[in-house]
Amino acid sequence: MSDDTPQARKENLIRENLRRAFDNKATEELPSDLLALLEQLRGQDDKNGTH
Amino acid sequence: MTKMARTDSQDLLDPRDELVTHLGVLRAFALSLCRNPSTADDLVQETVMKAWKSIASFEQGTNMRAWLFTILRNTYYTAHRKSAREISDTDGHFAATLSVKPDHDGKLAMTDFMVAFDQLPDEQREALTLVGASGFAYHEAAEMCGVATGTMKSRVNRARLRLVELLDLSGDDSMELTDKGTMAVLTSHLPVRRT
Repeated sequence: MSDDTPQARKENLIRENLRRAFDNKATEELPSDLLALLEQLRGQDDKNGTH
Repeated sequence: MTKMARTDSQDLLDPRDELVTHLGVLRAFALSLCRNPSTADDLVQETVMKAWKSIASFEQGTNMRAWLFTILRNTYYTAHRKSAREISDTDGHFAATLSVKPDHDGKLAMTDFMVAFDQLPDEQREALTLVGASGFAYHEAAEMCGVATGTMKSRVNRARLRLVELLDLSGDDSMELTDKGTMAVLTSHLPVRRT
């Protein structure tokens, strides 16, 4: 489909908004409780010698 | 970087280290399903615990992002089946009762888009996020969701059509965009009516 059709422009608009919303969230700093969980899981692995 | 190249370079990483690199997109996917940031983060934590526990079963060199997304969506839908609070609205009857026709006078703001997106049924939000935002191919997204490729394509199409309807994008050829970044991307070669 040519990029110049009304349908293609609408789909582009949707796609770009979708990607921007997704990227905005994906590039946020990770929350502290998630980081704490990772630390905990790594700690358990170290303790169990699992690595 | 292509997916294959990324996979090759990630082969050198401990899978646990690679897992961490996917957490940002995992949070974004979770939010698209849960529509609530707090619930989404709980879902991500649960996913991380499950993935970490079964990391030995992950085959290095394969697509970890797809593996993580599959764990997350399965966790989400299992919880939803238990709570049974979500209205299954695959035909859009419920969504049709809602209207977000934004007062945009030809402008589209991100908030309007997200309000409309959040009104899509689970399966359609998921399909659009996997194919439209995360960059998975139709067949990859279909495999992750346990459906046929044709079904996934159908979901994406229905989602797009419903968004066009909710956002009142029908009719006028030209669009104004409130967001300069989006405008720059989309209108570099198209005429745009500016007031």
